[in-house]
Amino acid sequence: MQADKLKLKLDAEATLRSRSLSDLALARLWRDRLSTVSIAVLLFLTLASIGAPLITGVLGVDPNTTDASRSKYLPLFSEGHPLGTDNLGRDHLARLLYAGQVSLFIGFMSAVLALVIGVTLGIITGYFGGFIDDFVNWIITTLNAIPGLVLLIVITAVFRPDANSLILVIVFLTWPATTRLVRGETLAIRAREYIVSAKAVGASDFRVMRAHILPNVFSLTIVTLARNIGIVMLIEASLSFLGLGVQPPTATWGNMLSKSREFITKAPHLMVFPGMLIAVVVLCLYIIGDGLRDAFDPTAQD
Amino acid sequence: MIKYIIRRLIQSIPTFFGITLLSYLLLWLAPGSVVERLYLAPDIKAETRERLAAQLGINDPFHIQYLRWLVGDDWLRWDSDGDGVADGAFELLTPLDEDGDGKPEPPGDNYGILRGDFGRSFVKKQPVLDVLLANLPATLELGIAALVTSLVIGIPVGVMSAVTRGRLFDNVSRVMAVIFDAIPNFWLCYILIFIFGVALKIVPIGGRCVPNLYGVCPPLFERLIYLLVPTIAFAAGFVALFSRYVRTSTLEVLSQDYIRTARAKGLAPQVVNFRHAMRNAMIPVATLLGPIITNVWAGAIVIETVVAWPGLGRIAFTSAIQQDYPVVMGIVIFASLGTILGFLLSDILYVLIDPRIRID
Repeated sequence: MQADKLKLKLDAEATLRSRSLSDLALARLWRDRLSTVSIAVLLFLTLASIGAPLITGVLGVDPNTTDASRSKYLPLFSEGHPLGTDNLGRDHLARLLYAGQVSLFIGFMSAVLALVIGVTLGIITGYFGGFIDDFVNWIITTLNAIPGLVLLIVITAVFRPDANSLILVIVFLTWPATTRLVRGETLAIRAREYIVSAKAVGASDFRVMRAHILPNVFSLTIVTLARNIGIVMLIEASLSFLGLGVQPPTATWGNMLSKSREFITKAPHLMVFPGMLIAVVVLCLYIIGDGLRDAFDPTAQD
Repeated sequence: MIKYIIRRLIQSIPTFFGITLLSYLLLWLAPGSVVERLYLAPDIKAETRERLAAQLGINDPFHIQYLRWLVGDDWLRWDSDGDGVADGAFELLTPLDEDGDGKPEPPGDNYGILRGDFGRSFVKKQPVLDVLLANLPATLELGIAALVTSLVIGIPVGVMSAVTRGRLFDNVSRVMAVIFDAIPNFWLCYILIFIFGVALKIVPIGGRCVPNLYGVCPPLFERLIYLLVPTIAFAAGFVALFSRYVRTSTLEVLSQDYIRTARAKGLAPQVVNFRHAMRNAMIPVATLLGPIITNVWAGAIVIETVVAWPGLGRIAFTSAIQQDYPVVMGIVIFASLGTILGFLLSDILYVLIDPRIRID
């Protein structure tokens, strides 16, 4: 009994003591009401998209079946179709949910892949410098000088990618930003005493990069992740809107929006929801990004 | 200063070559090349096809094709039928005597992109440069209108927002900025067209002017109404960007000693805010000019496509779709040059307007 109490006390002390920067940051983020709401909205939309088969199953609708008997351009709140139907009589809500899967997946995967590449290359180039640094820098400056969307429409128009290769194409254009950020930070960290002492006791280059540099640049990049997902989703939307992104019948919010302009006079509501979902998701991601940045700001006071 | 500019110019040379290399690589990798098009034409005989391919130099190795595209073939000739006579990198400058009669063949008439010859458009059958120059004014018109609008709105909003920090105006403008940042601009453009063009019929639903027989538009002031919706949709994101940026830099300036001094000696708040603070807060905005040009291109493609604005952005999109590669590459090079120049200009501007920065 006594021992239990003591253990509880010790645990409590341990939790008090072990508030690291990221713990503090998360606590701060949790207190930031706007960020919390955004996270909730985002989680809700993500779960709804992932659970699309379940939801459409309950409603008894399907995103892709079209049959001639179905009524087209049903307005909002129609029986069995809460958000109406599109030009082929497909349920709009079901399509939105399934489209969400693709759009969110592309945004999330591209941003994470670009982050992985950016962190790896950034640390390597910043740590070693020399030829590899110059070479990677040349590629980055070159890619930066070509307006992203111009290059993107050329690549997508020429190669007509599907969802997975579209991710690769977007990553190809977005890795330079993270790489530059990480490289700069690595350059600053490399000169610190703890790196010098780690090397003095014989730590290998790999160990220095993994154990001493990576943890220190990681929080910096994770802060940019949310914003980057938002940027990627806007890029994907622009591409799909131009008809160069993921091709129908696979729906994304971008290509649904693109399609909807053909029947804007018959069913204007079909244009409202995909655009609104893109805007809301990107807005949430930007707010979370700002919240993360403030939360991880080491000069912030509690 | 001159030295600095020259150094920056020299620094952009490798970048430029990187761009040409990348865009040529893209073209080279692209399916549906000219030869494949020839295969699709049923009335062309096999040997004609081979000869055409040889004349176009499509069988040559990549670096030869790239160099020919870059510097032209009017003063030198490469092996264009793949028999290996002048394909070596060291024999590039040798006049090619293909049939062995002792006289070199006449050179080609392609000047290469370094001399502004991007070839001829497959679709329009015109020199690419003419196509680009014909569409440049429309894009400039829209891009400049959007930039000016966003500066005129964004800067004062940013300053006001910093001055009223934490109060209603600041909060509202910051929320608006995030929202306009997150709204896809093409969607905004559609909504505006739908409301004001389709439903209320007070603005045209697209185009640059009333279509006429000559395909030329009257002077700008007679067709400002056409510019209205695309400019608003285009500028919305930039206003958000500028106001946020100006707000941050104004906040920084407002905490400086000279601002406190200015207030202490009893200057009116407007004078302090807009004469002392705003002018200094504007300096970092100059650095935005380079990056923003990239966004202008992105916006141009999307907005021009939405409102059928006959500019470079729409040409970029349509020629990419039609696989009109000479035009596509011309636009990539053109756009990149614009961006490089933009970065250069913003660096120079930054040095020029901030007396605290000294070069060398």
